[in-house]
Amino acid sequence: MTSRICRILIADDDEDLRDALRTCVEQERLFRVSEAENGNQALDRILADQPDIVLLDHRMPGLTGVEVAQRLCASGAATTIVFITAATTVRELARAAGVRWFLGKPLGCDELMDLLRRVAAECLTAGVRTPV
Amino acid sequence: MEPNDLERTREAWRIYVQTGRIARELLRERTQISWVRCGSLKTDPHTLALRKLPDAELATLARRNAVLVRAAQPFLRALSVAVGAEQHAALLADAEGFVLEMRSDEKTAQAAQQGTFPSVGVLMSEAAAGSNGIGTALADQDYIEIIGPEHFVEALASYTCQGVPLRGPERKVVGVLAMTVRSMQTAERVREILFSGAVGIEAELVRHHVESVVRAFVDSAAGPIGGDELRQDLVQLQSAARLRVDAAAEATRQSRPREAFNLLRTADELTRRFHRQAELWRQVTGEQEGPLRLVDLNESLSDLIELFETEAALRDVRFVLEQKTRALAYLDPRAAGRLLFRAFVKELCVAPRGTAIGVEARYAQGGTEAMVVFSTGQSVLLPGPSLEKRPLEARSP
Repeated sequence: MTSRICRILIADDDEDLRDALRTCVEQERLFRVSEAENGNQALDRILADQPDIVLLDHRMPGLTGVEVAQRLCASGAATTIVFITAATTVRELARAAGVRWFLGKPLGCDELMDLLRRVAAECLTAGVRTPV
Repeated sequence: MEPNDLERTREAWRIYVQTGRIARELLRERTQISWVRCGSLKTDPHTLALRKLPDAELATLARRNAVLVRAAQPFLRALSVAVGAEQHAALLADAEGFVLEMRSDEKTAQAAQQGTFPSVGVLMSEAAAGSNGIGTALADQDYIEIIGPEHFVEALASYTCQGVPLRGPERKVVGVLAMTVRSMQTAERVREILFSGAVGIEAELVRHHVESVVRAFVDSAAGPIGGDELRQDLVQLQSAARLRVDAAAEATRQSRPREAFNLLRTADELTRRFHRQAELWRQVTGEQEGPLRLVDLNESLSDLIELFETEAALRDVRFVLEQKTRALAYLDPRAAGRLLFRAFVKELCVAPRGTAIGVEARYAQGGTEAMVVFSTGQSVLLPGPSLEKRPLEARSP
């Protein structure tokens, strides 16, 4: 496991869920969290700040999660997407857009953190990102 | 319970095994009642008879309770995380008291393997194991804490056990979430997580039930909105609650009780909102007819606006409840829910982006009819409250 800081953007329109995700993620000092409350804001922040990971919801006002994923993949952005959805149809669309990591709902802290640690280890140690 | 009380309880146990008398003056009330039950069940206070189900029956038990076990696993894990390295066991039992699942430290797991501590498949009813966090919670149908010597059976007297009965969607007890630790202080530390865990498990059971009954209805009634996606919204609140319980468990382990308390309080509030939405789903989708009663239309509209909140936001549409008057309708709430659900879907499908749709409940025809009117012109006519006094056949919507 890397000891470098990993920047995570939480993109979800539901404030309660954003808060809950942030609380879990921030219990580990490895991660630094920022937030976006809709799809357009998520895309803008990813392109501007280039976080290491985005936790991406699908049902958001403006661009949906799948649309954000499609645009990110087309732009060649190096941010790793972790898609949060339980809907199989949405999962297939996201997969087709190039998303590799998924979390279902309802999700717990353990599964969230297990996956984030794996993704962080992969994207930071592979040198894909320039960690802050 | 103070050290003196513990000594009094030990004394009560000695009196009981020597004379068969329950020394009521030395015991807490619920302990007395439980000991009376254990006595009449001929439970042996000297022997902990941990009988484990044979493999075939264990497999049947697991199959029958698969949904409950799946619902409980994250919360058993959270309880175990909260206690940390201390000796403990977080247990799930079915409605009879058979242990279905267990999370524990290594030492306790070894004891379970050696048969000196309960394990999966063991019956923990009061008849089998005396007063304990599982059997007594089931007998009382209520939360129970059994401290040290309050355990009727001597072999369990070094533990402090707590159990909370779990209720299914029909409010029938379907199992128990229990926690066994070695000290009263640890028991106190994890009590709130135990309660929130029980609430979380019940929410998961409700979600499972609601999802299975709403699928067909939503797919037909939601039309172009997409039932699968609409159902996802129900899970949002539950997800937010569950993440907070997990975070509270970690905060408890790290001795940050205030933070844990606040997280659990928010989790409980979110779960309460989830239950309200789930109940609305059940009302809307239930097929059987219920009794006619007065329905506050403003409450129904407010619940439906919350239910469609995400979908409306995605379409850049906003529902605004205009509460000019209190309007009641007299009908089966499920029928009202179904009618109004369809009306909301219709509005969402045609509303241009950026629209605010006003919705108002009012009376018509001198109170014989109640109406829900949308600012777009759509209206839904319902039987008004004055029909309550008419014969039943005249009341049908």
